[in-house]
Amino acid sequence: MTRSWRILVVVLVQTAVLAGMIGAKVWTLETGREVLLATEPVDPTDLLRGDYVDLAYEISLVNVDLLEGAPPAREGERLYVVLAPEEDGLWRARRAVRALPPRSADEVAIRGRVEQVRETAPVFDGDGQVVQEGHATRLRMSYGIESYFVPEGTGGALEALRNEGNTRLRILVAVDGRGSAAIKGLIVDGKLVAREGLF
Amino acid sequence: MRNPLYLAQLKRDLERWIAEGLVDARHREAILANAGEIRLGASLSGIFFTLGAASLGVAALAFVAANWQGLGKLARLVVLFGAMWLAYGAAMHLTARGRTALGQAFVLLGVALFGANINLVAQTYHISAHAPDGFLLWAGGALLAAALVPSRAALAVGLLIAAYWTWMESLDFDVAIHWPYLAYLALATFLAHRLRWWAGLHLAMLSVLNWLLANTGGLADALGLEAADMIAFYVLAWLTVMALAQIAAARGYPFARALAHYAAFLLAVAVFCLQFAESPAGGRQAFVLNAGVAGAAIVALAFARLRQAIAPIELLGGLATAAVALAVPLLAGTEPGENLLFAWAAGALVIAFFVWIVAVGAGRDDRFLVNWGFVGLGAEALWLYTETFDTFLDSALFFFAGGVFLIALGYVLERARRHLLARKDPGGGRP
Repeated sequence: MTRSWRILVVVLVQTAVLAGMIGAKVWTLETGREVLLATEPVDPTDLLRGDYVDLAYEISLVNVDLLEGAPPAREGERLYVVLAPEEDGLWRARRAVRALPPRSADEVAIRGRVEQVRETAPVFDGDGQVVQEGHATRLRMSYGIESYFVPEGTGGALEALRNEGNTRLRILVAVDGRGSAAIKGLIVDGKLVAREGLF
Repeated sequence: MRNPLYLAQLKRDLERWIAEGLVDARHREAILANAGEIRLGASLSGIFFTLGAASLGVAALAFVAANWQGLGKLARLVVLFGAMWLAYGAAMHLTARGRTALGQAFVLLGVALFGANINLVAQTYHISAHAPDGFLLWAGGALLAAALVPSRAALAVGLLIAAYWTWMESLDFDVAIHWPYLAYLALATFLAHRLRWWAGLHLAMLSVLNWLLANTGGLADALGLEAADMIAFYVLAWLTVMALAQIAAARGYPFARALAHYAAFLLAVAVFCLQFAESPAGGRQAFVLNAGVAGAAIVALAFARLRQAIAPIELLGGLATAAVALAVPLLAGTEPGENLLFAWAAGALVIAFFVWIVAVGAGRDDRFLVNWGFVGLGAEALWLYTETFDTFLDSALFFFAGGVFLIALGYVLERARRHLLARKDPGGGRP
């Protein structure tokens, strides 16, 4: 094989990698089930890094009691969190398991990584009210949907909405059958303001 | 022009070869002129092309970043993929026409754009995966280009990106021991060896140091070693590597001498640290492990001696170093300096070790080992002086005596070093 052909192989493989990144995300967007998630305020000192907004969700903190089976969760571990819709239309965590579980018709399983095992953190209810002061062990999870990239200088409005609590900003997320998630849209005050797709 | 260190070495070797009758003195100038022949065209143009490629990459990224908001997703994808394909297309075109240096520069540009595209695709599709994975992907793409094209510049870039990847995993995500990096490093080292690119092998060795820096704590925990055991483990491990490298050097493997130098450097650092060891050490399990590594060191040293790769003094010094490394974790005090007898004995042993390094260097006519041995002797003398007189730290006497001591020490060591090197090498004595 000549050197030119070898360069062609390099460019084809690298293109395939990039296309794979896009394809996996678009597959999730197109085939995934839509779930509506509430956002949580983020520490204001870590709001906007560069031109993207950090997003945290109610389901970013999972009570350790929801984890089924032993041993205790450890940082870096992959877990599937089973979500189900509640009366307000928001999807919340029901249980967490280590392998892709069977789900009922009204459930989806979202795959995440345990970033931190937190001790003695307060527990909030759906309205952001403290319902339990400390002494709870919770898992801080990441699902690959924690960043929303915005045009430079336009993140402020989104941050303000996000930090008003979980009432105004909702994130529409697609979760596919393997548990992969992708941000599909932004809902502000009940109105879809942005929708994501291939183009 | 050619590496000036190489030319200086060649000049010294030529003098010796002429003196020994191996080379005709009439050919001296011709050989030096040929070796120093300035291939300015190729090397300079290569540097300019590479810098130009890097500059183009930055320009492309700046342009895209400045106009990102105005571009739809389709336009972004066209720009991202198009730029990368153009770079590689240019590389193919130029390579096919024999413009290798310029072609290599465009391969480098392609690798840079591949990394930029990973980031920009992630932005466009709001992908916030485990951050180091993006760098792993980029380093993998660089390695692929380095292997297939082949491209030394892509290999260098891949090693640098991979170094950042492992630091992210270790420091930002607290991975105790980042094993996957070693797999990458093994592939990159194999490739550098295949390309017969010695600078790449040096880069790989520096990458090993980088990994050790970030992972020593995790390794000690995993092996159940306390600090003293871990230092002893390193002494024994690097002693083994040094002996194996000498065997490889004797068989004519070109990078083996450099590998022996790296091992000697790390061995010396570990031996120097042995005197700060504290007990209690890790106990029976740690001793058994270190005894196993000591066994490997002894076998390697013995084999090296059998193959005439090391001198008897190297064998004896190596065996003594292994024995001391095994004993130190058992003898140290519970606090540094608590066991005064140990402290003084350790100081004496460290001095003996560096004298041994100097002797080995002199025996081998190895300037690196001689210089490094003297650096170690100086450092140890300073350490002992500070430890002995630290109660006078606030007095003028300390600084006065210290100044006299330093000047005398520097004079004696430098004289000894020059004397040794001059004896071995008529043009020696220089650093």
